Amino acid sequence: MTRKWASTSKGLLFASGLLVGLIFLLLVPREAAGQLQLVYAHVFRWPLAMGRGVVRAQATTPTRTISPQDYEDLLRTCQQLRNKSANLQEQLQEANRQLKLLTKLKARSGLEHMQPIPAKVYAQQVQDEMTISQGQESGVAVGQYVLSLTEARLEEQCVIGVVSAVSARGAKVKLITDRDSHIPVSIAGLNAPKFMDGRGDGTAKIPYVPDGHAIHIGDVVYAQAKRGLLDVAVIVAEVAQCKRDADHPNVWDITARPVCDLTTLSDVVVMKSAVP
Amino acid sequence: MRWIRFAVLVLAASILQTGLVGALAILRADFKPDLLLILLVFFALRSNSRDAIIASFAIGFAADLSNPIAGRLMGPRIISFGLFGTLLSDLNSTISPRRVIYQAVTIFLMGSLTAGLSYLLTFLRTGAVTANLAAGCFWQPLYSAFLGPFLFLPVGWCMRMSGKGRRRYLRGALLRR
Repeated sequence: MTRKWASTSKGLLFASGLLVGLIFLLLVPREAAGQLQLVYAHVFRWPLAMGRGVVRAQATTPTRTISPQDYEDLLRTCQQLRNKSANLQEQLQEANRQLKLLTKLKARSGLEHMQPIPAKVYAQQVQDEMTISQGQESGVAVGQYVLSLTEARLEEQCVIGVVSAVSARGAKVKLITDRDSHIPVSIAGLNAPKFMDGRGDGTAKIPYVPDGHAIHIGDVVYAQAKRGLLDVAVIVAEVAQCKRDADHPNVWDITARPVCDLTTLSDVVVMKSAVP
Repeated sequence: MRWIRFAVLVLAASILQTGLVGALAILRADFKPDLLLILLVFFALRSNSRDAIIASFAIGFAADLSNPIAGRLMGPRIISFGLFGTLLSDLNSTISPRRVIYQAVTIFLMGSLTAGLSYLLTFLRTGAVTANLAAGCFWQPLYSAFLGPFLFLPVGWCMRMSGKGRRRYLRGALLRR
C-alpha cells in the first residue's frame, strides 16, 4: 500500500487535485457547496462563535474613558431615546392600524368619492355632544357627518352625529341623540323622507310616519344620502319602540336608538367629500 | 509527513482564521493575516514535493470551506492554492528562501498570486467582482508576509520539521545514507 502510494507520480497527484478543484468549481451546484460550508460552520460553531465573540468584544471595547458623570448623562439620554423610540413605535402602529381601517372603509361601495378623516374622541362633556381631535386644518367643516370607526365592527359602521362647531384643531359633534339634532332619514322602505330628532335622553324620535306603513321594533333607520356630505345611505339607528302618537292617532310615534354605544367610542371618522 | 498533525493544524488554522484572526485586523476588518496562506508556504517549502502537492490542495480546500471568496462557491482556492503551492514546491529545489526577508517576500508573492487567481476564477464562475480586491491581493498578503516567518517556527516545531528548508534537509538525508 505504502509502495503503491509512494509510486503515485507527482503529475498524477497534481492532476487529481486540480480535477477536484475544477469539479468543485464547475460541477458541484452552489447550493451543495453552500451546504458543505454550512456543515463546517455548524460542526465548529462553538470555537467559531468564541472567536467572533473575542473579536466583537475587542472591537467594542471603548478606547476613550469617560467620567462617571458623563456616563450617567449618556445613560439618561439613552433611556430618553429609548422611550421616544418606543412612543414613536406605538404611534406608528396606531397610524398603521388607522390606515388599514380607512383603506377598508374607502373600499366600501358608495364611499369611494368620500374622504374619511380619522379622529380621536377627546371628551364627551355633555351626554349628547363630543369633542374630536380634528378641525379646520384637516378639512373638517360644520355639517359634515361623523361615523363610528371600530375595527371589530367595520361593516356595522354607523352615523353618530354631525359636526356642529369647528376650531383649528378640534371640532364638536352633535350626536344624533342631541335635542337639536335633525337628520333626514329613511325607514322601512318609506319613499317620503323623514327626519330623526334627538330627544336628549340617549334616544331619538321619528315623528309623522303614517300608520299605513308597517314598522317593527328592530327595523333599521338609515341616514339619507346627501350630496357632498354622504354619498350613500348609512345606518344611523334602529327602531326601539313604535306606538301610536297620543295627539295624532293616525301616525306612529317611533323611538330609535343608536346602533353603537356612543359613550364608549374612542375613534370616529368625519366624512368629507373628496370632490372640492 | 505527519498527516494527522497536519490535519489538526490546518483545521485549527481555518477556525482561527474564521474567528479569532479578525482581532488582529488593522484599520479595516479585512486587513488581517491569512494563516492558511502562511501554512501553504510553509508546507510548500518544508515538505517533499509529493506531500507539498497534497498539502497545498488540502489547505486550499480548507480555505474554500472556511473562508470562501464568494458565498456558496468552492473551488477557486483549491485550484489556486494547489497550483501555486505545487509551483513553489518545484521551485524550492532550486531556490530555497531561508532568510526571513526572502520567506516574507515569498509569502507576499504567493498571497497575491493565489488571491488574484481565486478572484479571477470566482469572476469567471459567478460574474461577480469582489469588492475587497485590494485587501485580498495586497494588504492581506503583506500582513501575512510580516507575520508568516515568525509563525514558521512554532509550526515547524509542531510538525517536527526543522527550519533548515528542504534542500538542506535532503542534503542531511543523503549524508545519513
